Amino acid sequence: MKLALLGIAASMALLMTSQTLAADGKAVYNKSCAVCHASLSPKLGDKDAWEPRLKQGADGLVASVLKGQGVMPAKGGNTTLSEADIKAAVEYMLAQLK
Amino acid sequence: MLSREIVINWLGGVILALLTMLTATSANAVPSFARQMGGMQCAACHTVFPELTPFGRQFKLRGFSMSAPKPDNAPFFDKIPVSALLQISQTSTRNTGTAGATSADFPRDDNIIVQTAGLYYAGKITDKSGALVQYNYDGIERRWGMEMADIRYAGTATLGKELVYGITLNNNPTVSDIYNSTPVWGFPNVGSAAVMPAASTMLDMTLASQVGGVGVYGLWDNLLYGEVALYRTANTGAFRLLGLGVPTDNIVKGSAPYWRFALQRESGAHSFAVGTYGMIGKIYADNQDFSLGTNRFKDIGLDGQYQFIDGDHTFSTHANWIHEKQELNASFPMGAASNASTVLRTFRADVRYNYKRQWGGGLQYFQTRGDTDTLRYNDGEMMAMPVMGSANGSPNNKGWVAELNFLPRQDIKLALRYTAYTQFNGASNNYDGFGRNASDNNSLYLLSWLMF
Repeated sequence: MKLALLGIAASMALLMTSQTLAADGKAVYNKSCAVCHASLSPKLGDKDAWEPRLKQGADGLVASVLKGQGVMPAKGGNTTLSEADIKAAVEYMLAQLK
Repeated sequence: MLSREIVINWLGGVILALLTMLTATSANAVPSFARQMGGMQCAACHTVFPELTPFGRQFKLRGFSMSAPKPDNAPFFDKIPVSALLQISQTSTRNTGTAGATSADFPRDDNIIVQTAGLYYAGKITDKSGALVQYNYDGIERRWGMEMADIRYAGTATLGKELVYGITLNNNPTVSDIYNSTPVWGFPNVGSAAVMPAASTMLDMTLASQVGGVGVYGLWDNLLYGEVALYRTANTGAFRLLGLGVPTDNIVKGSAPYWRFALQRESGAHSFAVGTYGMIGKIYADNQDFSLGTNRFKDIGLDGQYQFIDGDHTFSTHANWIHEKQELNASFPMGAASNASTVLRTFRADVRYNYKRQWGGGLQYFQTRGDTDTLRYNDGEMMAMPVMGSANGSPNNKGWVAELNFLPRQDIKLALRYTAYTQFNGASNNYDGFGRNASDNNSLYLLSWLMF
């Protein structure tokens, strides 16, 4: 019984953690990314525009955001973002392509 | 060597800058644009203001109207698209004591002056329109005036690829440009109070705040940029507000067409652009007596720029060449020009580097060459004039500008600039016929530039 409760608790903790990460990514996106990605390519959810960029993988995209690339300014123009914030936002944006 | 007085004066300027820095509420240039974008940092749009990054170019093209949603509880100042600027400067000319020179030739030399103090409307008007309008006090000319106006409407369409298009209403040819190689936005960005050479082309700030223009532009596939516009005098009529407070020394007859085309490419940390631009205009020979007729100017420019932006490092280089054909159909018959037709050519090239958007500087080579015209480049005088004249009637000048920058915050720029002439109004030595040398016009310029 104790083992089962521990298992449920661990599962819930894992679920809550993943929900927190997803929520953080969305929050970072809404605060710091949406202002551009709502109107500039690649737009959120635009599979065609994202396709050539997916070859970099999530880590490559995070690296691009950290340093800036092309029209994209470093850290999306918000230098207060941490690497974890950016990773969460990238993962959120990639999830919108599924 | 810097004199003790200059150092003390400059320290005063720095203290003022620091005081303003302490009272400023944000670190973003132009701050109201940054607020509009949800607190975006200066570095998103600028390498070092006012030079634009690729994103800054997109923001301008899209009518200054991109914006982040504002929460209902956002502070009041976050919702109003107004910013302010303050420029405190000192210009020190190397030699103001040559034969015939008077204090009137160097009216603000060695004085700490409030060079510019003013306000911007900088922000969106509607979801597809916005403006960058600057009205300020000019401490060199000692007057208030409409320094800059660029009001835009923009949209997007699909022509195979994305087309960003728009309409601009502005008050200076090239103020609408998105690159930093053309005159309005070119290095070193701010003029000093030092003596300037007699000759400059029509496109080289000659019509600043003296005209109003309407243009249409488009950027296709982030690759091809084009703009066409018509400019009319701001002396009278509908464009009068665009030249508010600024004397219209050069009155354009009718409409003057302007064009601009460029090819740009962005790849990783690199961006390139090459282009051409030009303007054809008739300007009255006498701004008080239109019966004397007009002179016709045809300017054609070639320009290019390269930018490298990667982490802590930004590097850029720009080049600009303008060829001007002058048909002096009014000035020549009335005896204000020695030739019926002349040519003037201007070339500039610069390199700029900045580390962490904080420490940096730039170096520029400039040159203007043209046909000799004793009357035109000697202020209409047959006899030589001290300081401002050209004894041999040549408009030629060349030299170097070196500038160091320090930005204690992203919205404050401190600049130390030295301008060195190797040729001025046609000669290196005794250019005015009174023994003044080109190098006597070398100047040291100190600037505190604050945006808040």
